[in-house]
Amino acid sequence: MMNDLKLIACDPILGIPRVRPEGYQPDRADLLFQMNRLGISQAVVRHRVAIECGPIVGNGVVLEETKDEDLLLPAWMVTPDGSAPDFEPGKLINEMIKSGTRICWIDPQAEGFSLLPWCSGHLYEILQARQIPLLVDYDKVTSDDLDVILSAFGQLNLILLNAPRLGRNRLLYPLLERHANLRLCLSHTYSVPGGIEDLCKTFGDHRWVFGIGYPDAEGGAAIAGLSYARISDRAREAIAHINIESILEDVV
Amino acid sequence: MACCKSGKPLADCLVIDSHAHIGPMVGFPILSSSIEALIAEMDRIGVDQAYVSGLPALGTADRIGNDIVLDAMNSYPDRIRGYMVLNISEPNKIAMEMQRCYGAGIRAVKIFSYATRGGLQYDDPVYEIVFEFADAHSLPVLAHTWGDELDQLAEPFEKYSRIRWLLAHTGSKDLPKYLRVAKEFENVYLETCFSTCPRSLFEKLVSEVQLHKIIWGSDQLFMNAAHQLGRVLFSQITPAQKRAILGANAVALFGGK
Repeated sequence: MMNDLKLIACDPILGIPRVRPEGYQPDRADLLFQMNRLGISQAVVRHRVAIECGPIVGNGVVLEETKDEDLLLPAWMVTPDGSAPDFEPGKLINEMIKSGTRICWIDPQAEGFSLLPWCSGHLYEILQARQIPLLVDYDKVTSDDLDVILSAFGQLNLILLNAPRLGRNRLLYPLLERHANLRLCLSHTYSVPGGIEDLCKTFGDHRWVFGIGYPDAEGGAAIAGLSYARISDRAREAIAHINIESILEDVV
Repeated sequence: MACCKSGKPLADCLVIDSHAHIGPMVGFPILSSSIEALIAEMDRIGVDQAYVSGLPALGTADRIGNDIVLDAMNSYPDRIRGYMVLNISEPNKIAMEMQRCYGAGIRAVKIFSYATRGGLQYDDPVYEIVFEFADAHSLPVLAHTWGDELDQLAEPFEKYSRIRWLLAHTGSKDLPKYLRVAKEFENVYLETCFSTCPRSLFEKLVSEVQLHKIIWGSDQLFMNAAHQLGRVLFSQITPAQKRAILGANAVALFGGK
């Protein structure tokens, strides 16, 4: 029963975009309010200022915004070259782990790099070795690129955000079949009738995490989607919180 | 909300889905697009009735799509109501197909602005054939919209005043335009299915337009109806407003029981 189910949202992004949304301000207080309203126990949090001002600023801000709040788990934006002055991704990842952050994300368009192994391979090596999960928005990576990346780095824990509602997705399904470590964040965007059920039936229930589309979506949509999915309670718990907890616990 | 959180179908609220589909669709592999799949989805969350169009008809196979809907109506007469969809590419066949569908019991029309791959705009003269029939029979017309079509429909809203216009995907683009036409025209209603599930949209709608004009739809089997239901149940509007949007308003609009 969802009433008692622990929910961890893996997709919230804080920060006011350049075009301010009408009626709400996506800041820490607002996120905590929404989490309380919806019954979300914890949230993995990115910060939009990393897109607007770069990861050095953004990662500092996300740490500040999640400070002293166990409900909020920071995610760092990373780039394949680490950050100034060392430009060494291993050092960046060390700093990230030292800060208490266990999960990272990338935006190749914002930071001007290729996701392909020739450009980002060293980063993937490090993330793979340390079992650090990597969040990527579906719109930021092509299916072909995903196949190349995951063929080269089969142990990389890559979590796709905002996978769309395209029925039995002709791109995603073969990717999921080929790459056991490809995972999806299931929010309102994966609005496929029978979709959660088919993913669990076809690929098991251990590869999915939960999302609410914060700040721009009504989070109750995703809750209803998970609640009404005809899956076992065990699978529902896995998606709701067990899978992401397990992934974060495995970080070295 | 308690039913939703426990995964049980809504039992104490009439729920009418004003925007549903069955049948196969080009380029979109729906896991199961049969009427049985739709009924199962409806039962799962507690949808009492659905107004349905046949997906092949949204391409150019109008007769095939409409026949799928007619079969569904015959199989589930208490649960399924139909929209007829017309192939705008063949204007000389439109009236005949509309008469056929009407004679077989379909009492609503769906228009789809991408119907011909090039897309005839709603203000094209061909659409007048559709609107004349719908107006003469006082039918509801569910219009796929994504903002721009509202300009094309401005004249038809006024000219065909016996049509109850239901604008699909309200808020998809240019929300103020939807609000304006709903306020300006007595016969314009707002259907709510929208895949991005925008936050605070229902709160905005009930504050801006007359409650009876807000009509719930899901776009299933394109989308998971549970998400569209969750949008309403978790929105910060009153229970009475939720009930109106989920079912009572559709009863008034479609004139059914």
